[in-house]
Amino acid sequence: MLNNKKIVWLLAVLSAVSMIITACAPQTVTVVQTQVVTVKETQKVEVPVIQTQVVAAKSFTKPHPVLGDAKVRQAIAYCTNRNELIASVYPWLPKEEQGNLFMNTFIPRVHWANEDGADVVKYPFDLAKGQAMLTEAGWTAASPTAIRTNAKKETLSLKFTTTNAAFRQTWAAVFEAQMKKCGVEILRLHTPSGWFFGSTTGLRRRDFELGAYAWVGQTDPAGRTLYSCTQIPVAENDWQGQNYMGWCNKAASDAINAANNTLLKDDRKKFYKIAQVEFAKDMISLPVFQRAEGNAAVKALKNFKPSTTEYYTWNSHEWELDGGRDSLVLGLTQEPASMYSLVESAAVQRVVAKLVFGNATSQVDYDYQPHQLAKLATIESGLAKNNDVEVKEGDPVVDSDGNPTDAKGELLKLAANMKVQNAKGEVVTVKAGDKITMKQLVVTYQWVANKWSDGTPVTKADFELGYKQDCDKKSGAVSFITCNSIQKVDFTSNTEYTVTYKPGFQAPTYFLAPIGYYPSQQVIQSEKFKGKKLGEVPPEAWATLPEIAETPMGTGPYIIKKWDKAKSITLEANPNFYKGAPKIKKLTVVFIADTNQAVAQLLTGAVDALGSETLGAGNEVKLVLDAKDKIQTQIKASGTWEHIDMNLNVP
Amino acid sequence: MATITSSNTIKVLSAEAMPEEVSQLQLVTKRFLRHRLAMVALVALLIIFVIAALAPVIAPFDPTDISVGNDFVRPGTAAIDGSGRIHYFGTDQIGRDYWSRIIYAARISLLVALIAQTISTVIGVIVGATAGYLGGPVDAVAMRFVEFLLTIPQLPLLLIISALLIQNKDALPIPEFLRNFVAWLLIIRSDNATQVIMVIAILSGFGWLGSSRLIRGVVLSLREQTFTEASRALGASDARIVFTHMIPNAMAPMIVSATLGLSGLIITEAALSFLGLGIQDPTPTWGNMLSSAQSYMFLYPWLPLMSGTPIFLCSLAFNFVGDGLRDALDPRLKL
Amino acid sequence: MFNYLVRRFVQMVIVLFFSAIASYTLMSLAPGGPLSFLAQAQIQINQEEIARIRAFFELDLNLPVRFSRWLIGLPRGPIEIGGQSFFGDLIVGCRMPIEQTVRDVNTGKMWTEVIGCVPGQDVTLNDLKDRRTSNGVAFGDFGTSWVLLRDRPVSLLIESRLPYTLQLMITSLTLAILIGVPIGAYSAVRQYSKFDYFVTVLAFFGSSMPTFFFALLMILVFSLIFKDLGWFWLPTGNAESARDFFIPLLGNVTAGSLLDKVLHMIMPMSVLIMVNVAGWVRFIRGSMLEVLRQDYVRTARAKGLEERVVIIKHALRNALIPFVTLVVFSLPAAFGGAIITETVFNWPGMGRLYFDALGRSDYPVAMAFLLITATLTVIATLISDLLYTVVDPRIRLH
Repeated sequence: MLNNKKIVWLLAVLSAVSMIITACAPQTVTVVQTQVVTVKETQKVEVPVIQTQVVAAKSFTKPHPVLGDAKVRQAIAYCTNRNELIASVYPWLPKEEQGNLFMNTFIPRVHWANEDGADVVKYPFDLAKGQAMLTEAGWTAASPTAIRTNAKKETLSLKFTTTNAAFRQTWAAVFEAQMKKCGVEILRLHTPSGWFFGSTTGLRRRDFELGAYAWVGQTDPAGRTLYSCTQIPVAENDWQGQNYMGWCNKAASDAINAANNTLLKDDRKKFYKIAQVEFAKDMISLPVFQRAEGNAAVKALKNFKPSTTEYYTWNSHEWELDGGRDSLVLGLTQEPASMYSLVESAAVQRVVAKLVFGNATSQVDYDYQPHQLAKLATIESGLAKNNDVEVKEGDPVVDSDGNPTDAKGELLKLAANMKVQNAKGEVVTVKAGDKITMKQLVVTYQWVANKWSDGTPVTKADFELGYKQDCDKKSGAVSFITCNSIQKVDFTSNTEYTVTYKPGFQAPTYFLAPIGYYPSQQVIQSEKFKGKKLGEVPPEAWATLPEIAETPMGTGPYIIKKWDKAKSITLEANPNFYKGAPKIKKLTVVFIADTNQAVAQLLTGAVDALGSETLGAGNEVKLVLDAKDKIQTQIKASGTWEHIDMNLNVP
Repeated sequence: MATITSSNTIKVLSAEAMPEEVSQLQLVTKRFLRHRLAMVALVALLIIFVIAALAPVIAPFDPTDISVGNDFVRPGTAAIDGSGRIHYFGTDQIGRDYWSRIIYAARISLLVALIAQTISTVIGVIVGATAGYLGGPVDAVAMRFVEFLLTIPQLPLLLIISALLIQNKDALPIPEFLRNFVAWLLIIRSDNATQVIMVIAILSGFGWLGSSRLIRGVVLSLREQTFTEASRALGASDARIVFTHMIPNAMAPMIVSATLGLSGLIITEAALSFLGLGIQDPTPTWGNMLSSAQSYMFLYPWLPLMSGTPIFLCSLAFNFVGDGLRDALDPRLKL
Repeated sequence: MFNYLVRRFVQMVIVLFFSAIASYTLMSLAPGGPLSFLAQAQIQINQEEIARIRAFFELDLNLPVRFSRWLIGLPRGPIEIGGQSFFGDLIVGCRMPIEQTVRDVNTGKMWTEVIGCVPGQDVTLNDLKDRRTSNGVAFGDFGTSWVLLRDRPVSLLIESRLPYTLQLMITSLTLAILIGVPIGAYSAVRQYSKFDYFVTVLAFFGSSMPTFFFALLMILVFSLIFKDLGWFWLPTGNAESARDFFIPLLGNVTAGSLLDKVLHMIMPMSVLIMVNVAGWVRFIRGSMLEVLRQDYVRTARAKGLEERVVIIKHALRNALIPFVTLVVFSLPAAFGGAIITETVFNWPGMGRLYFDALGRSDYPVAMAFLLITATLTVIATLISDLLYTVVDPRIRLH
């Protein structure tokens, strides 16, 4: 990791060296005769000495001089007219639909875990109240429009860091103007996302005062990495965690941990309520709005049912076209890098993957629905058991943070000083020689009798290969948290396996299948492994196989027939799909990067449908909305929400 | 390696052609005045400059005044506050007056181009004149370095460097006074001036390559002229010869190429903004206004038109003025 | 001559080597990088997992080692001589660096620097044995893509884009020459005529118009508005359509047919032609003006030759020689494509590939692009230098 001083140096030295070398090269076509020059010393560049301090291990302990005060944070919330921010970004959206984007807590209002009762402090736009609170906090203004100062004559000015995305520039400009009315000066800084989300810069080093960005909406409300006390990135924990605000509220932290260590929805609701109440009260992160997202398709397409928490191709097997047409063209903003889901998780890949692999389970409207996984393996359905087991020192466990490994990546074994959750649901610190009763999940996952697109049935061996490959460290997967949490798996039949998790594993989404399947009997045609079966190919080579990356065999409604790189993917209906071949026989996915271009193609009829990943929510959507005689447009309140994090500490 | 503008193909005014300076200037002025297109362009440029200079006086609205709900107003609509002011160019997505923003942006876009061009011309002249006059190893080192930089394709490299510099916005130690000066000049906040200075640095960092090769070619041919030998015989120092004889004589091609270069710089600034790597909002420039307006191209086509037109007009005007200057200074110049 | 060429070749290789170092260094300094996605996803991730990702992208190796592996595919492990291996324990990188975040007291700016390596996490030459290694770009292997075509050869990506780029660039360059040369020459012959003024205005118009603005305007007018009016319209973008479509006057157009491809090429091609013609017309005009003043043209006229012959045979031919050296420099551009035009018209070309590669931190792809363009630039320089000797026989190659 080079710092800036070094960059300047490096460039200087590099230029000097290259000058020397190129000068040594024989001169040719010119009137002037050259001689070889030897330069004895490279030029030295004087760089002003910068006084620095190393951020100590115990860093970020001092409260922020402005944002450390809860009154100021709450005042900022009152001064923010969020309806106006929404209107600035989505002017094309009708007023009542703009209201749907409003948020009070970190969970969207339509989500089952959302708490919107009187216990949650709300911050409706109230200029007078905001101003009064600032005055109360010691920030006074000479005139109503002036920037406030405190007793020490310091001005109330805050750095506001965000990315340079166009819509953020828009609402940030409005936010700046709103704060000015409250006497708060906002210094806006729009950085490229590479810096803001970089692995050693921006958010990850808490290098901001007010930081605006979005969390991607999820079906499961999760939230532990965001709000738990253990997830505050500081030097001493190698900057792990995503609690960039540095918010440590015991009640909220315990609640969010418990919510993620509890299996039953009703219990979880209670914990999420506590977390949301504290979140709103402390005002450490102001939820600005849920993003809008537009999906559009030609009117002739029936059963077009996009959902904010699912990719719009999830129900492609139900799609039908009016007017006897049997081919459909979808526009996609980017070419998927690979169809191998372990190494590529971009939305564009998932949109196509849904067509090829179908759904094990889908996530429509913040909930889960079974498809190829025949039933959700819940405790209520009898497929899962949460047993009490006694655990002694040295036994493999999952800790109370839900981690099966320590920070270095070593598998955890019960040991002294470790924090675990016992069978009563309490977090306890292990003492030497302790025996602890913990919960252990044993879950049976039942699948439908599936056929591969070549007509051969999915077998036990295919599931076994799935487990082997997905949990192999060389497979290319990023996180092995699920694999590391599994104690053992019993493959009992061609459609069923039972997973015994390690004691302490209490992830709320336990009922979703952790293990998929690959066509173990597929014979590889491509060069290097020609004639071998997929199961015999070493795990690290899978990503390089065209049979995996480009034309994978699946059990979904469609089969990839042709992939014209940089242009399109052509798919055909899968006759062996377990619900019968889909009605639309041919499907083409065309890659269109530019939104203007995508909309133009939709309007001229070159493509038939654009999902939210391609259409987005810019002003282009208005163009589509205006063409309502030809196009059906569905605007959704996305689970992805913009918020302003307030950094509570300074280094 | 030969340069495109080697001594053989570039002809410049030699000292003999200028017996008397006053009459030469008159001649040039007369020729320039005859160039009708260039005159029109010059007048247009003057008007644009006056408007930019007087932006705070002329602008009917504060360019940062936001009025959500009053967005995308059509050109010519009266202001919502009933003050009788008119949004001549309409408003943008958050109700800021587009005309006011355009004229504030003019200050920035024009100054960025002017300063960058000045810096790159000065560097180009120093490097080119020194290399051309001294010849030998100095020339070899300098020209090989220029050629080395030219092997790296321009726009791609520009992309990397601006990504690098703008992301590490404190990479270059910029003195406080410079920042404050630029901020004062452009009427922006001093923390936003950093970015402007970066873009100027990037643009001039590349601009000097071409002009140094040009000047070198000119100087190479001048070096063999009799007046140079004469002053050398009279014992004039190298520096004196370069500064009193070479550079004044190389002025003509330099001025022309600088004027034409301005047009390119305005476009490059816009292209950088289009790719998301130029000066960012809240500092308005024609480039970033146009690039944010391009997503409204199909809905509110007047917005890109309004922000695109000044870019186009200025670039066109600089081209015509440069063309006129060339014809006036030396019609045989090939630039 | 042979000697000259050999020397030039050596020189080219040296320039390219440094050009490669410069680009590679710049690239590896660019912030963001392939790990930046981790900050945006709500996942718990441990150091071992981060180390594994770093190793995948070779970020655990020291920059010179990484560069050398990219350039010539070495080192691949310890040096083996006669069954003995040497330098196996030589440290070439670090899996888990110890980082220290430093803050500038005055500006509040923070950055992170590496101050050491977690004990036992050094990468040695021995560890490189099991890694997959490319043969090195010097031997034509551009390695594997990191992001755009994850884990598969960069050459596949280039192969898929290059035909489209060449198709678009070569046609538009050729047409630009065919259009630009006569116009430029004619406007020189008729200097200060109405035609000359018209061409001047048009040329400057072309070079003053921001490309993307012009391109979007074309889509608006020729695709959207024309189609709404029921007139003859042009497809908005792509290299060819995904299915058959109907255009007034032409009738049904079959997807993938020649007509389909031509229709899709018209708009991006027009934009590029406009830009190139605008740039060249003035050059040709200038060089033609100069030639027309030469004595031999006067002599030709004095001999009583027909004006057309004088202009085409004597003047234009000579005026074109410097122009050819200029056109040679379009060679790298013909490979590199045009980023903006390709983006707006969704043309699957090299320019966009490079831009995507930069934006998504796919450095092997971006590096391949840079290196090929640099090579072509150097070759173009050589060709133009050789052409100079044709232009001016006084210049000798030595």
